[in-house]
Amino acid sequence: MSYLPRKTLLLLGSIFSITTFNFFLFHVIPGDPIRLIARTQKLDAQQVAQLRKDYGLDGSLFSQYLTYLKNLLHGDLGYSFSLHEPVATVLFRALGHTVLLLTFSTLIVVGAGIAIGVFAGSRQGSKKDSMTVIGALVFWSMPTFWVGMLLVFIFGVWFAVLPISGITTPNAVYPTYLSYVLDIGRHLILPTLTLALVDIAFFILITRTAVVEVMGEDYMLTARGKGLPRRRLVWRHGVRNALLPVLTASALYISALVGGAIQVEVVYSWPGMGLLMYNSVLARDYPVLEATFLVSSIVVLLANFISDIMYRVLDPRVTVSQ
Amino acid sequence: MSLLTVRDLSVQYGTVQGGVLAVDRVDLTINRGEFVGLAGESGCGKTTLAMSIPNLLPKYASIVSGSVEFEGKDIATFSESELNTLRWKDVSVIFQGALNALNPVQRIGDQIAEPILIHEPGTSHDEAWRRACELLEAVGIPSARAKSYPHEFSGGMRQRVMIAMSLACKPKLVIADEPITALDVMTQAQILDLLRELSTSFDLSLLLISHDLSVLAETCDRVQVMYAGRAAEAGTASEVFGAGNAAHPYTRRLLNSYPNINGERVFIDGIPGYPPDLSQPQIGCRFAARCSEAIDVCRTSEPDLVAISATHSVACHLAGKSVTHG
Repeated sequence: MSYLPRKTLLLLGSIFSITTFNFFLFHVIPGDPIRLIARTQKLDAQQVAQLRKDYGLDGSLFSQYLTYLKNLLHGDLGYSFSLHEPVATVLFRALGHTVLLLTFSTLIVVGAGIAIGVFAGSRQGSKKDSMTVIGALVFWSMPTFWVGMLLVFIFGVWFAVLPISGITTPNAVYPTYLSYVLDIGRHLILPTLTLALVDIAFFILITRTAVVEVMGEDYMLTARGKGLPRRRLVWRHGVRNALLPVLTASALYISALVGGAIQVEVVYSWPGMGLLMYNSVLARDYPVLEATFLVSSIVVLLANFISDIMYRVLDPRVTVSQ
Repeated sequence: MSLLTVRDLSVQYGTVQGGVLAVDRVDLTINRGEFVGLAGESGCGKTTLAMSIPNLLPKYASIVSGSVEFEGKDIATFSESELNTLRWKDVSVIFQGALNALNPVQRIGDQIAEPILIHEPGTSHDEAWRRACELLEAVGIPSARAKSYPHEFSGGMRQRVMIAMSLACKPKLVIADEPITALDVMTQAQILDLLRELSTSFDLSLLLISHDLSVLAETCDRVQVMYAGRAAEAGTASEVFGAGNAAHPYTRRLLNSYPNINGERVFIDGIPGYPPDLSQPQIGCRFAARCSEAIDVCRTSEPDLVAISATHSVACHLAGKSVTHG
């Protein structure tokens, strides 16, 4: 079978296994959503049984699984236990917020990370290089939530110049659409900065190592011997080859981002996927959990799928048979 | 006027243990159209000497004394951008082991065309590509293969690509650093013939580095033998390698280290011992410890390279006094 169909089939198979795994994982973790709901209201046994039936939590685990799969194939993600809204509505609202947050931070992290990594790696052993590495290691060592709290303290409390919570100012009235966008922009600054500060180090270090390795290759001496200007030498020959491991790292990074975004979203009460997952775990909201994990799994698989394809574009040595 | 004159050149490598003089007060002259060979064991400074011509030394190496004059200009004093205009346009290099010397992610046509585009601004991309194709044809590779990547070629083919690339800007001097070492014997002969033929038709000077003396004897007008960072002997190919002509005991031992396939099966001599540790100060002749002819003066004073004929010079206290073979 040729490359793309085979790869796509594998992708679908992986999504199916992950879906199955997620379903059983959440149902076997201790805690019962019905008891969490019943705790706040006085319900008799009959009402609890009715609730259990309404939420589809009666019957065997396996029959619940089959129902879940059937609904999923019909595009029905279910109904949230805790938010009393269709999961699809909840999910896409949160997804929009997360994409907004991650787009900016990822652009900064990947773009600036690679640029700084190349800057340092092509000057290996110089003072600029060691300062970059030390700086990157310092930020790399900081926990995401801690950097978040530090920035909240500095910009939100000390200078009190930036909002520290949510996506818009509560109860704000916007005279124009522009003022609405600007308000979201102001709310975006700190979470984006937090993600960027910690994660940029990862890209700086990965890129730097890749560039240092490539700079010592024989073909770099050939390129130098050709009398190429330094910029062309570094970018055309060095970075072009060094990008291969960086690409793999990018796929890993996007996969890991979902976890990193949870910390940032919780610190800044950013109503995105991370915060949704966090709250859903606390509420044992199975349908939302299953849907959010399904989406993250698809993101991880897609990132790897795209990086595989990109790798083949970038590296002529990767052959079809692999 | 000679094309290249290296005078009294010393190149030092900075290591953790201190400086190592890989090339120590060495002269080298190459005239226009001349093929010059550089011989010696691994680590004797052949490559370091050659790489200091376009100054492609690693950053922990530095020229500590002497001059490298190319067409009368001392390039040891050139800035990086001045060097970049000299590199490939005037002096190109066929690197040791073309297996890794080609960029794995660029089409070979682009790699050959690249120096043309850099050194001859105003050349269109199509024109540079057309010239790259012509060069490939000249080294016996169909021009349709210009679109291929290095990993799609065999070792011999890659060395041909490297040769085509070295000729891209019609340089005045080509440095070929062990151009055939990693190849099998049949391919070696083909590559060597190609190199000789093209060097003649492109009217260039060639500095050929090899530890294989028969290759140098066949190809070069003049040869220089190096030992432990110093020039041991220099002269025309026949003066140095011709039967019974070698004036330095090291050259003679080196010549005896190769089997003669037509001759009787004899045990190959080899040279006992190892070259000296260059991080230590050297007293006397550097070859003395391994030389069966060494006398007292060899261990206390270093011999200078002195002329024993108009073209032949040798650095040995015994030269001219005894020509007995060791």
